[in-house]
Amino acid sequence: MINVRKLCKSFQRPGEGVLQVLRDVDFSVDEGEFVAIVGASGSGKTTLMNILGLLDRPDSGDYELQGRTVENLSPEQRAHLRNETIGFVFQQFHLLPRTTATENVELPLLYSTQTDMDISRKAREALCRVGLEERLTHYPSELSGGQQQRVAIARALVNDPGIILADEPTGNLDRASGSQIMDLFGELNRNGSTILLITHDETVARSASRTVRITDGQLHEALVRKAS
Amino acid sequence: MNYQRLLTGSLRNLARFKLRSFFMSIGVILGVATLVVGSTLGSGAEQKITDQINRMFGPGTIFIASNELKAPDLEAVADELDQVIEFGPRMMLGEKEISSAGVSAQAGVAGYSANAEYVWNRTVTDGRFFTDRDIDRSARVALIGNKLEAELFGGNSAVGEEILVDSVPFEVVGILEPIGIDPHGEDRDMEVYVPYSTAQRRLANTDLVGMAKFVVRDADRVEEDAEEIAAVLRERFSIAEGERDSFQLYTSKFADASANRMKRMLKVYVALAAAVVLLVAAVVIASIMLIVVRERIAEVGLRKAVGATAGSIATQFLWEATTVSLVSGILGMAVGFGAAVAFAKLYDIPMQLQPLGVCIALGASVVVGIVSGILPARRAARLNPIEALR
Repeated sequence: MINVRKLCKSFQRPGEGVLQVLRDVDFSVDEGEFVAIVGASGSGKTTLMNILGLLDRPDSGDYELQGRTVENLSPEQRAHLRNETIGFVFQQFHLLPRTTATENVELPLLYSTQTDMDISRKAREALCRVGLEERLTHYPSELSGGQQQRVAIARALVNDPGIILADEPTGNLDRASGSQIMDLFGELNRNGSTILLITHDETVARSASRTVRITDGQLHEALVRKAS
Repeated sequence: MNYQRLLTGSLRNLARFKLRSFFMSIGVILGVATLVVGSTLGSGAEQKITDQINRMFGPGTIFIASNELKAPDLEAVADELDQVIEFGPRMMLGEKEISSAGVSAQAGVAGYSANAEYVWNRTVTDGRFFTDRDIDRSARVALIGNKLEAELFGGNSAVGEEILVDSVPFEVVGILEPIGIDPHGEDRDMEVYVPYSTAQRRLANTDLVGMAKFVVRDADRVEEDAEEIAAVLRERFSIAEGERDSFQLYTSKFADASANRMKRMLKVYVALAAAVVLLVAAVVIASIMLIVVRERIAEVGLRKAVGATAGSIATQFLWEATTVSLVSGILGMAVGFGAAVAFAKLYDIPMQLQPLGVCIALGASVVVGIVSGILPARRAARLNPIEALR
């Protein structure tokens, strides 16, 4: 599913010289896996996710997504690939305000080649999968944080992506909602979704079947592999 | 890219932010309304100008003004030039006090001949026009405008009644055809016509006429005919070669040219006014859209994350600007038609639907939308999703 080799990324920071964020990262995710990348803030985990999510480009190294080398793709091709293979879940949910849950979930489908009927049906189905069949026409402001994040997860699922990238999905939620969201990820994974979770929280990472640590831009496979 | 959803999305955004949409709309509404008023009333106003010019200067007419001009001069010109088929004096006496049975009013008085009905293009709607006998006898008969009739006689017919013009008694024999206000602002429906001979003898004590109109056979030759008339008059007034003429001649060709100039100016003014308003509208829409893009940075980032290309983001904002502008254009047309109907009633201008004008107005609003959307759309399309989502 995801295969990166010797990935490097650095940023020019005014007055502080070059900051090496990722150094020679080797990493892979297989289909059906639930992987957590754990790291402190500033460890480079969000940069890694942006690169894996095709929102950013590495300085060097190889990235293969679903067997396809992505380095030489045009911005349009990357956008289409993102649309088809990646579902994002963000810490701040990033739902469109004053837009119903269903319409929020429909958003990725508007950028793909779907008929109108499919768009509505798929959005409904995705919301059912996250347990929000009662909230189809609610606005984000009428939903709790946990429910908003479920809408965002439904949006990530709606186009049947190869992989879901979740960046601190529980960071803005209370403990109870957070663990419900993690249960949902677990359930989605059992039903076949590939999930890559990025977090600083060890307890959250425990839901994953494999944990990878990132420190100072370098990845370390965790020694203990949880049996699932 | 699903364009139908995109369109409904922009319409909903318009409805959602009503005040903002209003500010974006108002310029386009005004600009398009101006164009619609201009195009629906423009041709009517032109027609009105043409009508008034034609009343004064029908095709093949030559107008003369001179303070030496007497009736025999006119006859001499007609005798000399056989292309003159008709002629008639017009003797302006200015405002006079008109009264009847104690009711009085101020009205312009003018002297005409019996053929003025044809030469000066104004007939009577009630009673009769002057006859040659009235002219020969210097009869104290008068034609009055319908407004003056109403003022002096209330709702009753003035035909057969007596009026005093500067205390000279006249019998009203006819009511003049209503023609409204002339380009000089004179209310021609308040006028009194009397035979010019009567005006000379009983009101002004002069044998001058002041003005006259000649009708010639060939409308294309008015300039040449005017030259010949001028030659006859120079001889009669003993004006030497090189000396300044004591008379002025205006031909229907000259009048047409000035009318056309006026019509062109009217068009240019309307177009210019609309263009300025639409330009301002475009600037307003563009600046509001730029603010909108800034407000919706997170939305743009998200859309890019879920697979929007730079092109589809640009299309979305371009589309929103164009939707605002097009919807405003349609509203502007409604406002324009409303205003046109009101103006048409108020100023008695005939309305004429101009499909081309409507198309231009709508086209202009689309162009405004696209032009004003380009910059905001580019800015949105170039946003970096990583920074936009932060």
